[in-house]
Amino acid sequence: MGAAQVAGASFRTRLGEGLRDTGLTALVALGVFLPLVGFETITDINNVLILTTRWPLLFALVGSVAAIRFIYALILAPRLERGALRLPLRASSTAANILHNWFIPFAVAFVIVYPMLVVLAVGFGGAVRWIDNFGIQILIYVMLGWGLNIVVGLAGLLDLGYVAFYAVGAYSYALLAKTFGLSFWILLPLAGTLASFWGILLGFPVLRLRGDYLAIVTLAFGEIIRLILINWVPVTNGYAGIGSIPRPTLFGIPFNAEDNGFAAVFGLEFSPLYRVLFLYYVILALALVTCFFNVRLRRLPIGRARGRDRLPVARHQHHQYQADGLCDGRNVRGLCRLVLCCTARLHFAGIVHVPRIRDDPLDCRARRHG
Amino acid sequence: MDYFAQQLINGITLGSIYGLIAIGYTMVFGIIGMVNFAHGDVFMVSAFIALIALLILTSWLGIVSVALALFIVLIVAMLFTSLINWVIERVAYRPLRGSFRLAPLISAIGMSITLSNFVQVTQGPRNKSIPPLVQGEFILSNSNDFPVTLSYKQLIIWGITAVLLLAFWYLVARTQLGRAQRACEQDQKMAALVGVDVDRTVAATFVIAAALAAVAGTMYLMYYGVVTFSDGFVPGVKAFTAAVLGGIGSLPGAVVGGLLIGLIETLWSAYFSIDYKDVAAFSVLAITLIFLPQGLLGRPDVEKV
Repeated sequence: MGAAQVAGASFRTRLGEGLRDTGLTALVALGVFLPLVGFETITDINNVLILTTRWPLLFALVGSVAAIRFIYALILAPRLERGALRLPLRASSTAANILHNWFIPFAVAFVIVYPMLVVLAVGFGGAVRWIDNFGIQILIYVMLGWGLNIVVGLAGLLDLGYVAFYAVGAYSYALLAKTFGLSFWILLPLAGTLASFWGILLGFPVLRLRGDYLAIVTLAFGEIIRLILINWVPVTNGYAGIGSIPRPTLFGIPFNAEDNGFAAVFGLEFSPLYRVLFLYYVILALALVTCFFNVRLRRLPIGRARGRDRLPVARHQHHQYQADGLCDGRNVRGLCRLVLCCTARLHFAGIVHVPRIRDDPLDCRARRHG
Repeated sequence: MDYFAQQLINGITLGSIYGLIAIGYTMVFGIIGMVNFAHGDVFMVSAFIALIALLILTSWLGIVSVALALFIVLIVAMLFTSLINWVIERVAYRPLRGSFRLAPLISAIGMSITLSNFVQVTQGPRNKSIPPLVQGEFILSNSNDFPVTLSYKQLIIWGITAVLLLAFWYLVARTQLGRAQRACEQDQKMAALVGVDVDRTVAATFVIAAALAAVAGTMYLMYYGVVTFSDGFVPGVKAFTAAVLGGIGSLPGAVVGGLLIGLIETLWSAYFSIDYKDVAAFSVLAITLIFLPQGLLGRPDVEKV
């Protein structure tokens, strides 16, 4: 009985506190949302700005914020305090073990047969969209993510301008392919070389900086590259972008409906699907190579001698590594090499991105976190 | 020469706006060592709040006195922007204090994208333009058919900036809060030991930074008469450049840096190419960070091992 009383009292105090919290939260939410959600500025027919109100939306928003806070205070917070929601740290069972051992082979096999599954499921016509949007796009993001993994994860450098390299890769493909008629297969390694130059060019001055300064400078460089791409109209055609870029071919066999096209040569009926399939497997191969490379890189001394100020611990490690002769004075050379690897990767990703959409990838800022 | 003088006037005006935003960056960096990336977008949000307040005052309440309207708009924008920045600090940065160094920076980038998309969704992606509020100008000289003018709105911007800087200097140098801020800047743990409420001081710093950004936003709206949801990023980075150029962490440095960046940008646009004016500003940022990381008036950073 005593325990029940205590529980009841604590529930009552909790309710009181929860209500007070909810009231405060609602008030703050009202203040935050009132100007921008409560009022809308609209340009009317006379091209004059007028105001309209959106009270229902505002109150719905504030109400839901308050409701979430109330639920949190009443139900979630006490449980969090008791630790009831804590997940078990290790689910060590045979099932988990099997999952752990078989996950990677299964995943690799899945991405390899994925296009066929899609073709089986939705037929030839509908498969293009599924392979294009969900296959190629995801793999491009995976490549971008791995590039970021090397620079931020392994080297500990927050490089905010790195999508600029993606844009540079895409533009170098577009311009070289269009102006000089170079093929996709020549441009792929060529882009790696170009990437090394860019990496060195930007890497050497920038990598002497510490943490957040580096983030800002790389951001500035990224913006500079973006602005140049937009404003250098004679070369890049500005916002309009570059159109009619030659598409990649299979060792000289184009993917079109002509007599010398892929479908005709192999005696198949023409379908845009073949080109998409081809691109899918190209980027899948690149991604697998990248993955292998990443894994190996982590085992090299350069991969283990991490960046200078990733974490305080890593910084101490840095001094130790320096003593071991694993990295030079400021590790600039090593970091440069890492950045170089990453930029090469981004170039590849950018290059594959272009023939897919045949458009300029100036939307790259949205991909900052690829 | 007249052309140059005119650009000088324009550059100082622009530089005052950058300087006010730069103070926000430099203060926050000084106190918690974090680059508050969302500050440029807070500035943009404040310009929108000012726009909405102005429309309410002029078209709904029918206030005709420009001075009164401007004053009320300034106060309203400062209040709401401060509240928003306080919430941002509470939600996005405070839980990450004591986490690894780059965590708040990444969180701030996320906040910056959130804010600009929030405004885009709620207010629409188009430019919002208002008729000019303050018209008229002084003609300083009129030789060679090129009149050098100082418009009233430029004068207002200079005046408000000067008054605010004085008030702000008083706040930091002479008040209890300013002393607490300087203490936290030197050593947060020690400040907490001697009874300074660190959380509260940091929150106050964000509130002050937002208030100054709101003044800058209001004046930006008054000066250009147009604002859009993406207007936060570029002025934000330029103001950050100003803070870095002046020496991040140094308050007079932020103002000096702001004026310099304003002048560089204006003169570059006037004599070289207006398309590449942002490139000029960003190059200044990169060059400063690489060759003069402590800035013009900053203290050299001693790396603690």
